[in-house]
Amino acid sequence: MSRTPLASALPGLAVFVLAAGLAAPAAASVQVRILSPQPGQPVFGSTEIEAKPAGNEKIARVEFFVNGKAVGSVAAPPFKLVFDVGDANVKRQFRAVVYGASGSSASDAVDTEPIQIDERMDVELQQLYATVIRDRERVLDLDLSDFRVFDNGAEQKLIAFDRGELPLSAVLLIDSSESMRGERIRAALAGAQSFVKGMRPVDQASVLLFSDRLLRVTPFTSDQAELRGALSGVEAAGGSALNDYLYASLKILEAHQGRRVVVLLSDGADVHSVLSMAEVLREARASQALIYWIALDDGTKRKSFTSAWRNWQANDREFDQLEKTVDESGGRILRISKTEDLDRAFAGVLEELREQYALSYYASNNRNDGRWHKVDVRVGRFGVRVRARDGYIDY
Amino acid sequence: MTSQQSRTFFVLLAGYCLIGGRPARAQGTDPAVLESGYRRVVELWASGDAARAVDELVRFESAAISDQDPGTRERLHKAEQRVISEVAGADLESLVPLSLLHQEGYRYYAEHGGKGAAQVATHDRSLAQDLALLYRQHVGTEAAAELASHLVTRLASLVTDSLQAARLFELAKEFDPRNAPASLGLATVFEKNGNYVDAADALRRVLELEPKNPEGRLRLALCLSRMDKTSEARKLLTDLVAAPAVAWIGLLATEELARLELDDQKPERAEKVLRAGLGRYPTSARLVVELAAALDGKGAFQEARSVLERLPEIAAEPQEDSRYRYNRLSEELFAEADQAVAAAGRDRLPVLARSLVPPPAPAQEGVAK
Repeated sequence: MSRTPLASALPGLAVFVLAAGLAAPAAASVQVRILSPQPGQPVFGSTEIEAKPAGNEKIARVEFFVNGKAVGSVAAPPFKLVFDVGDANVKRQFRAVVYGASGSSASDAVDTEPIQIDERMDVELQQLYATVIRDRERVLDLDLSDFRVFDNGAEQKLIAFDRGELPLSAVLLIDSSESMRGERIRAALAGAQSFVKGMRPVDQASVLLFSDRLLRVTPFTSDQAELRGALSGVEAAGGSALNDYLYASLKILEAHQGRRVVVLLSDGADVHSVLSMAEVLREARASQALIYWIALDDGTKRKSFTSAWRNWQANDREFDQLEKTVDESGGRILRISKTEDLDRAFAGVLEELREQYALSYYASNNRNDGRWHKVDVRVGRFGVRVRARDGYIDY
Repeated sequence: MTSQQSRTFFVLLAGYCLIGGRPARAQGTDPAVLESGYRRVVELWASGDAARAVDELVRFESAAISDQDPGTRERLHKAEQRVISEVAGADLESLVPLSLLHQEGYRYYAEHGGKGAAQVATHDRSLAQDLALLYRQHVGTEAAAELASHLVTRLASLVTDSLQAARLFELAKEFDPRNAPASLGLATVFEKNGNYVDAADALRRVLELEPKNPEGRLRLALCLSRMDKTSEARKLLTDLVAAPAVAWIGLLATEELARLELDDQKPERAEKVLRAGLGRYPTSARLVVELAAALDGKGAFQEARSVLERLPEIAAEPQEDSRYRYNRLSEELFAEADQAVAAAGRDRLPVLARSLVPPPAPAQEGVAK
């Protein structure tokens, strides 16, 4: 402990040492804990399996098993690998076994669950919103014949094709926590207002402002005055419950037909949510909404903060999961470092939505069995990249 | 402490200062000027003019510590030591208000920052801590141990660095093992750092001292849950939900009990907990969102959407968030320590005033920058 010369100089002054962390040597032992997937989480397709070994000796390796079958071994950190578990909507067991240098070992297991299907959702008509890019510019001159869509590998017949004309249902989800105080919240609200201003009469939106608590939420409306009114007079304060309110946004969008989108403005640091990002990802897959994340600070909040709710490793995982959720949804992350760029970012999202291609098909291989369907959109032009949702759950 | 012991203490400290001190140097700030500056701060503090005293302390210490001459910092330490040894030699009770003075200095730097703030804050934090330690050791009574423990607990509650806070809470516990808020504070720091095992140990100590302590029970339940000791966690949470002593704790226990059920793949049980919770806390948006997740979990997607329709009416009356509250060291937790040290410090200001002797004449002209 640092001392002033005063304390150091005094005779008889006790030197106190923090007991925490000091322990007698123990016999060699290792432990392991599976960090991902999480218990109960439905998993499909390529799945990251991550374990955290610990102990008082060198870790020799961690072996991974899925349903009792060895799927790989990792000898150095990070102790993780990606394995394709298939698309069946079934319970699976993931096991990690750690071996120490002395030969000691330990294991941990996690059971993942199938998605519950007690209610059938009518999602047989699949709608995809595709953004096509070449050299950072959106490609806007494509027609139906340029697209091919594969659903679980089977090519599908497209029954509808549009560009940007479908009505839009959007949730403007604005983080109003302490880190947004001052100019940042003012710029965020102004940016969201410019989004509202660009909406057409057939579009509708809901404004949801949150910190650690719900501050404001409007019904879906096309009334610009009402939306702009909701986007003013808010002071940023408190913590952040991004997961909870992103989940709520996706959920309330489910009731809306057509193109659904969440425009999230946040630094991405969730502290206070009761829900995990894994639960949000599950909902995002079910809702099929696009998520655009305007990430303030270039996402630098990722830098491993800790709280009473999660340690820094868990917070980093949440952050990674948020990125994955956005990416899978077919939306994207717009990284912003200056508040003056917020206005342009919101306008850019709206412009991109206007220029998306809307593709519809009835899946030829739906069985309403809760399986994950991987969707692949291809464009028959050289050098283009397509961004669309990765798939959907077959309810 | 006898007057003989007090004199011995004073002589030893003064001896150190004389041996360790170096002659005044031409550059930097003169030791006598520094000493008179600090003496002025202590006089203001002893007179009860706390605001001016802290302003002066900030101005005086910031200038000395950010001085380009590295020797100035050492001379500042010694100048302060001379005044402290003088007043402590006259009456050891003076150490209590002096510790509080430097706690206030620390608080100022921690809140306002500024040039060299980290160094000055460290200086004041260490000095406040050492003054409490000296008081504990040299007065030696049980009452002194308790007061020193309160002093250090209060300081720990101000400290933003978790390692330093943990050390201070440990020290407060060492001074007075019956100091339950110190154990709770220590547990909170451990918990924030993901050290749930040590946090649980500290919380069990809290509950030995105060078996009904609701925050101690809640935090222990959450630590146990994270350590996969879910049956004990569930029991603690169930008790807190059934008989909530404090609203935010009852609400949070409801959220976390439902969370346990969701993690255990029991959405129906989570739903039951949450519906009962909404009866008690009808404006909790988080309970509504969690209920939607529970309904989703059991496949009732339509109903999940329906419950979220309540959100607009709830948003009209946002309330303090229980999870936000949980993530901070609460002011109420340290209210007892605050009150004890405030009263003790106030009572001893006349002692401090009497203990100051007239300052020596400065060796040369000049003022602290």
